[in-house]
Amino acid sequence: MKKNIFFSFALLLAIAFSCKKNEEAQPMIAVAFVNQELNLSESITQVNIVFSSATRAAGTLTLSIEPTNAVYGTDFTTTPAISNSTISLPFEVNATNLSFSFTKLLDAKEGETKNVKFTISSVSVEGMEIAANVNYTKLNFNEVALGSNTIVAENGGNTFPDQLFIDFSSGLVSKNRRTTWDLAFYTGSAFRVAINGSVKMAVKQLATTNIDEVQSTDPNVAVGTYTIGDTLYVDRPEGNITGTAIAEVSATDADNKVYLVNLGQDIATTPATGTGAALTGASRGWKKIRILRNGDAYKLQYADLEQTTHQEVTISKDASYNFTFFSLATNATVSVEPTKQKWDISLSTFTNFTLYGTDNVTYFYPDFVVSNSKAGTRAYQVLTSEVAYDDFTFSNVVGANFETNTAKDQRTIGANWRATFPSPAIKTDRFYVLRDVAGNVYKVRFNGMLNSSSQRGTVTFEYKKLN
Amino acid sequence: MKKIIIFLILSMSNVFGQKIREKDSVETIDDVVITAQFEPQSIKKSLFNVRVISRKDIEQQAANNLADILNQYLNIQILPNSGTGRASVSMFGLDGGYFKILVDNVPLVSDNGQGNNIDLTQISLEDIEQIEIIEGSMGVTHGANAVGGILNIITKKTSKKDGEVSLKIQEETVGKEYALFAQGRHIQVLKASYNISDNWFVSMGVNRNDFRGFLDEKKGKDYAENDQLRGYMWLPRVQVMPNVLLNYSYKHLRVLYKADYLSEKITYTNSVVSIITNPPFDSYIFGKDKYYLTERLSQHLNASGRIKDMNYTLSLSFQKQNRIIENFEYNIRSQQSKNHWQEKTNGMQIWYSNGNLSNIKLAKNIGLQLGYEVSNNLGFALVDGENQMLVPIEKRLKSYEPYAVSELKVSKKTSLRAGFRYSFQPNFTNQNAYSLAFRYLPNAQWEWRAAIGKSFRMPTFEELYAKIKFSGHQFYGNENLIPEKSYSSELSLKRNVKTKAGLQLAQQLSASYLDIKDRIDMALVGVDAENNSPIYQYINISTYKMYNLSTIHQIAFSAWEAKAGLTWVGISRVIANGETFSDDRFLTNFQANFSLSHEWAKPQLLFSTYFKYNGIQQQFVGSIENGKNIFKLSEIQDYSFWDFTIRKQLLNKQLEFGMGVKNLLGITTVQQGQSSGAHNDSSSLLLAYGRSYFFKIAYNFSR
Repeated sequence: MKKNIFFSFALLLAIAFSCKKNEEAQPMIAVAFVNQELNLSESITQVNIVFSSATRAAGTLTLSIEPTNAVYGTDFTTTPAISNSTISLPFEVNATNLSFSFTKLLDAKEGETKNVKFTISSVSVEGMEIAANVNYTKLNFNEVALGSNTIVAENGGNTFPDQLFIDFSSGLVSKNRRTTWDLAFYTGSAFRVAINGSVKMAVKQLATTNIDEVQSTDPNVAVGTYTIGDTLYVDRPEGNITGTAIAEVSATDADNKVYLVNLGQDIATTPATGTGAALTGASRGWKKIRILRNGDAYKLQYADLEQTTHQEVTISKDASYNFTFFSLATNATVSVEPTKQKWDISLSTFTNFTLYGTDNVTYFYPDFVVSNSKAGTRAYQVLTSEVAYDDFTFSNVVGANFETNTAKDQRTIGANWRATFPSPAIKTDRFYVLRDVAGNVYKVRFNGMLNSSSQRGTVTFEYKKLN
Repeated sequence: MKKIIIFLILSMSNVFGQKIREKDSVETIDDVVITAQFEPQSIKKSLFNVRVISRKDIEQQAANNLADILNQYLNIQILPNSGTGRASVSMFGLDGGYFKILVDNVPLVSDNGQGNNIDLTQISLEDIEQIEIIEGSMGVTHGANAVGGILNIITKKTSKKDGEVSLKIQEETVGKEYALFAQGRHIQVLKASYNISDNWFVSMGVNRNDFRGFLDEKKGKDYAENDQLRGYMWLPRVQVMPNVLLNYSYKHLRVLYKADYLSEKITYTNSVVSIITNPPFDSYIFGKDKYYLTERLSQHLNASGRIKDMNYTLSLSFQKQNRIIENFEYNIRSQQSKNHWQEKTNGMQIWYSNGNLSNIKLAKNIGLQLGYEVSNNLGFALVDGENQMLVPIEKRLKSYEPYAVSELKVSKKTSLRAGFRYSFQPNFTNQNAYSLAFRYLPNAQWEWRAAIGKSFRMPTFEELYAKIKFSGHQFYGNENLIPEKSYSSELSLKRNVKTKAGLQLAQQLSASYLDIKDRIDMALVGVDAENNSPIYQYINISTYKMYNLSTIHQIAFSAWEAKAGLTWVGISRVIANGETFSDDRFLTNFQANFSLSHEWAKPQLLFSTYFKYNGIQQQFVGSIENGKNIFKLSEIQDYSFWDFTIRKQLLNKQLEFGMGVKNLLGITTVQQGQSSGAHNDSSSLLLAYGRSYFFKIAYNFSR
């Protein structure tokens, strides 16, 4: 009797507590280059090699070298240096990647094919292997159009300090801090001035035309306050130049009013924890501005709110760019965007609209993708329920889709490729088709929005040229 | 597994041989109740209107935990939360913070309190005798937070048999989902009790409830697409609840020691598929999944007896409950997990004692009960803090509460009872509660009752200490909150008829009113001048009023029993948020239930069916229109639950087979939405997991 009871108890308890824990087994660690081809834009390039998972021991990688029309010491050097046509790269335990530095000394001549190919030839540690097909990279001195590419776009951490401009055909990524500029003067035929939405700037037209009149701050002129009507203080997010918050600069000076300018917020100084984004920084202060025409150029007058005198500067148009950018802090024009033919998408923080009840209010987004619609870049979205990314070819491209208002909206990719609630996630059910200014058509798929430490600020995407 | 258990049953029956079990005593409408009484007595003598859910009801509904059965009870609704896996109770539209759950008169520990906000699925029904419910503010006898009512679970403490062993296996489908181990619900119960001598009795048991989750449209944990379909509609959970009881009786003295343990593991599967890219390699695709682990220990030592003509009872209890979140990454490709780390989110440790001396004769017709309740709770919680951080808060809350109840027998037919409790609250302002009850028994058939009561609700940890601050919004707890106060009154009429032919008839009509003042709500209290953002805080701002009219009819004749109930509830609440407030008109809700059972003697078959209808529920919910905060009327559609069971007893009732259908109408969700206006925002409210079938086999051996 007692035995039976005891046995039944033991049996039930054994069932109850037989919860097994599966810990991951240890697979081989592979090593590879991220990109198999890169165009060299800078004189010094850091070339990245990645491991499939963190290394379990320290060791050394050996790379072999195969230059084409390039000579070590004359056309290029590397750090660490090449010896016996190989480079030895030591790595630490727990490393996820390592890099070497490549210095370009002499550019390619016109029409010349000039490159250096690096191949991983051996790895010194047991339990590691060289990945097939991705064990090399070719660094081009002459710019070669890339058929397909993967870009790991770094915004600089989860405070998103950097604005990135990406050119698909060359694979080049240019970067600048988003606080370096305040106003963008349109270089087309219209006289229009955009504000820096990536730092939550907001402007309000005042009744006066007298820039020297003392002004005071207005807390309603701000982004993200959930106040109906605040959309009037920012540029229309679609990217149409006629939608700027500052009215068209009139040839008649008396029509050009003074604007109260909230310079928005600085980059946050404390990073967010976990998968969060830190978007609230210190106030960048207030200014008052008035913009006039000066022939085919702009005349900008600006001052602090309490000042009774102002500064004045003339800003000219350069048609090779979308805008001429100006910083009120440094009183100078600054280089922000590449020339308008040389970028397709930008990745930055962005002042967008969102529904609040039944009305739009302003809302600030991190890692927001803007396409270069002002220069003519067009994009549309495809759901994988229609065609899978891998199966999508040029024959699937619908030309008419590039001509819709959606395709012309710079926010077509926007934040639609991701979700942030309840936690950051890539939407795996969609990809994009993008046509650049030169007529190249690409399919683009976003793969990740977190770095290896699960933090935001790194966006990984791949694209493939279809025509 | 099943084979082994069947083998066990058969082998045990061989060991014991067969012995005829005593015939079950006939169930009558005259239950004996304990809650809020001077001593256990017939329900008829109770001054309060006590409602009873019997062991038989529990068996007939094949209920394993409290959530399984309360859905059929009038004025109560079960609110399952698919996100956390908990099921809480709502009574008269009030959440679990207003309703107190006790086990043998001791408030049960929960994640963040004592007696309140209990997860009903964590209460096993396997070794209980009956459930007693009293609606209304029972602050005098049951202290803080007994606002809407109390539910007292009376456990089995003795057996007439020398020794008893029982085993139960119950297999249920979850909606259409069932597989022997991977899907469905699997219940195993083992109990044994033994009368060691005339004085000593011991019993122990274990109840295992393995609910493998409800998928419905969802695709489980191994789904890798990021379209919100990963995971479960209803989270899988496993509970193991062992318990032991030791009882010593000598003459009038009874000393009882009970220990109950609960270990629960809920698996949360994140709907978001996390991806970390590492080109050119495959991305690491994983779910940030969690286990919610709950551990509860409840120990209760009770002594009761008689000194001269007075009854005394003294309880000392120590209870603790911890809720731990175990976070981990579940690799969807390799189906393995890693990076486990645990974080304690809630903890409650309670030293509690209550006791009373009753039947103190002040005069021939005046009896007095003097009692006390003392508790010392050490609570721990992670509450929301600034920048989406969780902040640990640990506080010790104490209370010392003496009370006195006197009963005056005005005549043989008329009794009057008045009670008062004073609550010393070192952490808040002192509180008090009172009650007045009247009972009149004009003849053998009729019972008239009237009662008024006052109680109070203490603010929760979240209401006191939360601090949420993010871009443009600030929400704060408030340490200066005062307890909410409630006032209830009830009138009831009962009629019991027993004819010579054996027909039993019981009818009841009752009306009650409940008023809660200083209700706590989150409201706009100011604007942060620096960045023009609104500041919200919990303050005592809202009100609640409720009237209830209900009637219950019961009929029993030979092997047939039927019961029907109807209830109307009208609720008026002013929800204020500092900017605007809701309409205070009464919104009515209608509920009805019906049950029928029949015992067919010859083949020893028992049929029973339970049905409950929940009418349309209306409530005001906050909404934004044209930039303004407003309250709009929102409606939850009506729905019904219907269960059907057949039981077959064999081998002189030693072996029982049961099968049946739960939720015959297949309810899963109901629509909740705004009924008027240009916008018809509608969402669905998850209530159950559709029609499910169960099969049960129980073996009970005793001698």
